[in-house]
Amino acid sequence: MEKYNKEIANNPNVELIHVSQDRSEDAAEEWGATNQFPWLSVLPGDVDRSKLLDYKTRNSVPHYSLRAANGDELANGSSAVFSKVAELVESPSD
Amino acid sequence: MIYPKRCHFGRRLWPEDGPILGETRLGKYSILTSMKAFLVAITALSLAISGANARTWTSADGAKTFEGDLRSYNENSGIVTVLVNGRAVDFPKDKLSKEDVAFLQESKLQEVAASPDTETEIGALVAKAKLQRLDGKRYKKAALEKNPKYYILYYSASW
Repeated sequence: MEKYNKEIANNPNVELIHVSQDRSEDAAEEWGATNQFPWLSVLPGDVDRSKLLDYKTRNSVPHYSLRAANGDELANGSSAVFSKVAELVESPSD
Repeated sequence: MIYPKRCHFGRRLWPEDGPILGETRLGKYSILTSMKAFLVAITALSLAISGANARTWTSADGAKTFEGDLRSYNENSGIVTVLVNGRAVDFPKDKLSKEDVAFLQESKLQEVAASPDTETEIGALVAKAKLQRLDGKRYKKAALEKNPKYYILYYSASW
């Protein structure tokens, strides 16, 4: 969450979309509220329709996938994704 | 000898239950049964509804209301999907009041205005996705406010 707030939240070139893998809306909402997630989320009831699961390349969670707007995967995994983001876009805090 | 017929609920109907129009009996029993079934469905729907931030929807005739969170609205088919107590309920927009239909149109316009580049693959999917952001303890509908070159898709769960 700290990385999101520092490197993503105010960066116009990159956005993080949380695709919930929880089994229910209530579980997702409770988890989000407990941790005060700041990012945009697709909640369980909307995930299938969003087709964003098509871009999930691992069966485990949590899983991060950095995608160019055309869908190409540029990196996956937390550290690789944020390192790549730092390479690609200039952080507003720099 | 007169044999009983069956109404559409499979219950036996006797001639004294009422007149028959073609194959449809409009007897007291079948009408009452239909009304009961309708009322039970409406009551169940009303009881199933929850959510402090849900919108109150009104029927086209203004006689009934229920609460639920808009999930999607397909302009082509006119089908509205509302999340009621965690369950998606689909119905045609014609069932809703003029105010609700106006709300649907406005929601659609807001989605379009906030959409990222829909000619890009991820951008198109994100534009169509139902996005939400936490507001206090509840999620509320939100829009993408950027047109980013890159997207981090973060898949996670509480378990």
